[in-house]
Amino acid sequence: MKKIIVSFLITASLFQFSCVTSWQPVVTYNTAIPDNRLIGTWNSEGQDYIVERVFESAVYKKQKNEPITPLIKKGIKDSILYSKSYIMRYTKDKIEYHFFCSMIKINNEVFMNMIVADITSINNGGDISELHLSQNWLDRLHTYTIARVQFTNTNIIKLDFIDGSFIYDKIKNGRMKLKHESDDLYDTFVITASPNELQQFIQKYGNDDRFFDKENSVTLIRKS
Amino acid sequence: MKKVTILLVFTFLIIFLSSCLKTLHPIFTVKDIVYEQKLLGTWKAKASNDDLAFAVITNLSSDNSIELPEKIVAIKQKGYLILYKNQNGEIIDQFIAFLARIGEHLYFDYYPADKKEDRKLDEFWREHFIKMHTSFRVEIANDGSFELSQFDESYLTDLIDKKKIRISHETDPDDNVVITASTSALQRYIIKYGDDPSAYRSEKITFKK
Repeated sequence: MKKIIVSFLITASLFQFSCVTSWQPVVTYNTAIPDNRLIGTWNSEGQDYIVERVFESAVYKKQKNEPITPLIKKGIKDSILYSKSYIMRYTKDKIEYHFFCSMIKINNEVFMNMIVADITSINNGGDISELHLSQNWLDRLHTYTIARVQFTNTNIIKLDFIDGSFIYDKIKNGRMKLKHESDDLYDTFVITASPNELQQFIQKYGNDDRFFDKENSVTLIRKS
Repeated sequence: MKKVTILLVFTFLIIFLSSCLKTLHPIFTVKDIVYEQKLLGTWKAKASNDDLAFAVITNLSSDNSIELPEKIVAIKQKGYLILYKNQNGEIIDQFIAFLARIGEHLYFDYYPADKKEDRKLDEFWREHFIKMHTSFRVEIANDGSFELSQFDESYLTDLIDKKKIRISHETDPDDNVVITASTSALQRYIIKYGDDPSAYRSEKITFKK
């Protein structure tokens, strides 16, 4: 399937829109900006989202002692990035999803990168073996989504995810240039541009309203 | 940032897939597909390290619950669904597979097929992953049993590092490499190195009825 979600309006999930994913991040350790207004418990359409600093998150505390499968690579660049980044987590159907979030300022706008950090069960101390997931998740390519972040005030944040369908059509029609890979047989599409190329791309198109689909917008209301 | 690793607890196949060659594109085109009826059935899949699983191979069109890309639907009669089960009969992994003749040999192209448990995961989380292809050389013996040899990722990345090969790949700021070579480039690699035993992982998986 295309790595573009075409409107999932069935469940009550906050994130029900079309995303485009990139293999490389747009945010790097030397471009990341912290913004602690993100920290707290948020709600959107009945779903709670908790945002905390990476170093204070359960996923960091769990994985920093894991020698085999570490989230945490103990390099100085990673430490810098983590110190400016956040973990967003939410629970659905007794499964907790954790995302690593980092932000960058481009054209005076703030953009967020999200990538999966962990998945835990709220039962059995987080052990997900009871979920009986396929082993082949380990072999899938982890990719990033990108959203524009607007802090309306201290209690409201709007996330506008890039419209995957718009980007896909423009790139496939040759109207936008961005390094990518696509496979027609398996309907795969992923952006492979470098962080610098992604930043330039957003600089060029980030002010275009068509870049963000209204259906791809999420408004988070602060709970605490 | 180092690509985040999710903590999953697995056994058998992890040994084979952990350092296997993963590619963004398949190794075959539709014209390369070969269909061998004799691969269908239930098999004991045994690795050299004594791990044992069961593999159930059926025609891909026999299971309508599997989500297939549109163009794969059109050729599903020529494909396989391969289920790996543990000794308790539980499905631990499943793949959409196509057998292809590339050069002189037969190869399997594996592509993950979500189990019903995978499909229960939140869509937003799932969409942060891209499925990759893994491939195996297939050697079918006279008695009908067959053996899979998996391409070794480190062999190819070593060739890349030593500039002995030019094949499309991407390297991120943390030196993670993903092979983005086209199907035709992958086939050229297979034809050139397919007879070199060191291009494969040392462990083989033997399938016996």
